[in-house]
Amino acid sequence: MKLCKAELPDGKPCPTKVDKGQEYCPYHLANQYAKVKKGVLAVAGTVVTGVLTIVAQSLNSSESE
Amino acid sequence: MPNKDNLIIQPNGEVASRTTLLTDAIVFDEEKRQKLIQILRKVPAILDVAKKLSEGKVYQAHFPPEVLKRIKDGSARLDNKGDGLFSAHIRDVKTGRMAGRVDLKEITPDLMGSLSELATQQTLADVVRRLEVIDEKITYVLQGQFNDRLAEVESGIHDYEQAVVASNPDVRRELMVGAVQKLNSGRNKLIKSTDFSFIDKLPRGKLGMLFSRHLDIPEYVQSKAEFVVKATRSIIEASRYLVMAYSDLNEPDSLRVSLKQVESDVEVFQDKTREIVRWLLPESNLHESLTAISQGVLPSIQDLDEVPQKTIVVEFQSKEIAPPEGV
Ligand SMILES: [Zn+2]
Repeated sequence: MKLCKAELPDGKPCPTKVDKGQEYCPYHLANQYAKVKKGVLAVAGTVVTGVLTIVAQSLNSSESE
Repeated sequence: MPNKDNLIIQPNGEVASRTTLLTDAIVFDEEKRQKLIQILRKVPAILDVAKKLSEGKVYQAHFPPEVLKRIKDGSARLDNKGDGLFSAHIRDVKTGRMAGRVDLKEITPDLMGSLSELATQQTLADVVRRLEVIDEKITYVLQGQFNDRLAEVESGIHDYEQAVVASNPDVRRELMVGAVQKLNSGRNKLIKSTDFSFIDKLPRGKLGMLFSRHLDIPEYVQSKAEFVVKATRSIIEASRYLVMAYSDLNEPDSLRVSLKQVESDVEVFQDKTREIVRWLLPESNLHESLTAISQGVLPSIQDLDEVPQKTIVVEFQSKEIAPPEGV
C-alpha cells in the first residue's frame, strides 16, 4: 500500500498508509479539511463581525443625528 | 516473512521474531534460583558432582527438555541403559566447557515436579514483565472520570494485594480466588464494552470530510482515543495481576482458559486501535501509546505451551549445593 505524501513537523515523511485512491493518510487528509473549514468559519466570522460593525456604526450615527 | 504469531516482545521491549531471538532455555530469577538450589541439594547424584567442582567458579546445570518429559510419562524409571539422554550437564560458565554430568535416574518424580513448577512460574513472571514493558510504553497521561469497570479491576488488584500478605493459607486462597473473579470480570467487560463504533462512522472521502459535522476530525478522534488508552491500561493491569494470581494459585491451565476466552475480542480491540492510530498525528504521544496497544494487549499463551520444550538452566557455585566440610 502507498504511504502518505505529507511531511511531519520534523521534516520526515509521514509513515502512515493511505486509503485506496487517496494521496494522504486519514490524519493528514482530515487535518487539511479541518484547516479549510476553520478558515471558512474565520472568514465568515470576519464578514459577520464586519457587517455587525457597519450596522452598529450606522445605528450610532443615526442616533447622534 | 515472519507472521504475527512468530513475533514476540523481548524483555527489553523490542519486538522480535521468535525464530531468530528466542532462546530455548528458561533462566531463573534469584528468588526462584534459590528455591531450585534447595531442591538440587536433596539430589545425591547432584551433590556428588558438586563436591568435585572447583570452589569459586560459576557453573550452570542444564536440564534438557527430555528430562521433564520422561518424568511426566513415566519412561524415565524404566531407563537402565544409561544412554546419557537422561542426565543433566554441568558447564563451566567462563570457559563454556562441560564440567560434569549428573545421572538423573535416581531422581524422584516430586523433585522433578517442583522443577517443572518453578519453570512454569518463571515463565509467568517473564510474561508479567513483558506486560509491564507494554504498560511503560503507554505514556499518554490523562485524568478524568472513573467508570465501574475500571473500578472492578481496581478492586481485584486490592484483593490480590491483600491476599499476598495474608498469613493464613485459607484466607490467602479465598482472597486470591476473589481477586481472579473481579479481575476477569472487569477485564472482560472492558474489552467488550470499549466503544470503537465511532471509527467506522468517520468519513473517508474528501466530500465526506468537508461536510462532516465534526469541524476537526483528528481532534474528535483524539478525544475518543483517550478513553481507549485508559481502558487498555486497565486491561493490561488486570492481565498482569491475573497472571500473578493464577501463578500464586498454581493454576496455569486456568490462566490459559481465561486468556482463550477473550482472544478473539482482543484481536478486534487491537485491529480497531490500529485503525484509530491512522487518524492521529504520527509521533505524538497518543499515537505512540496506541501503536503500542495495537501490538499486543494480552500476554501470549504460547510461552506456557513451550515450557516443556525448554532446557532449564540453573547457575550455581559448588558451595551452594555442597557446603564445604565443617560449615
Ligand atoms: Zn500522513
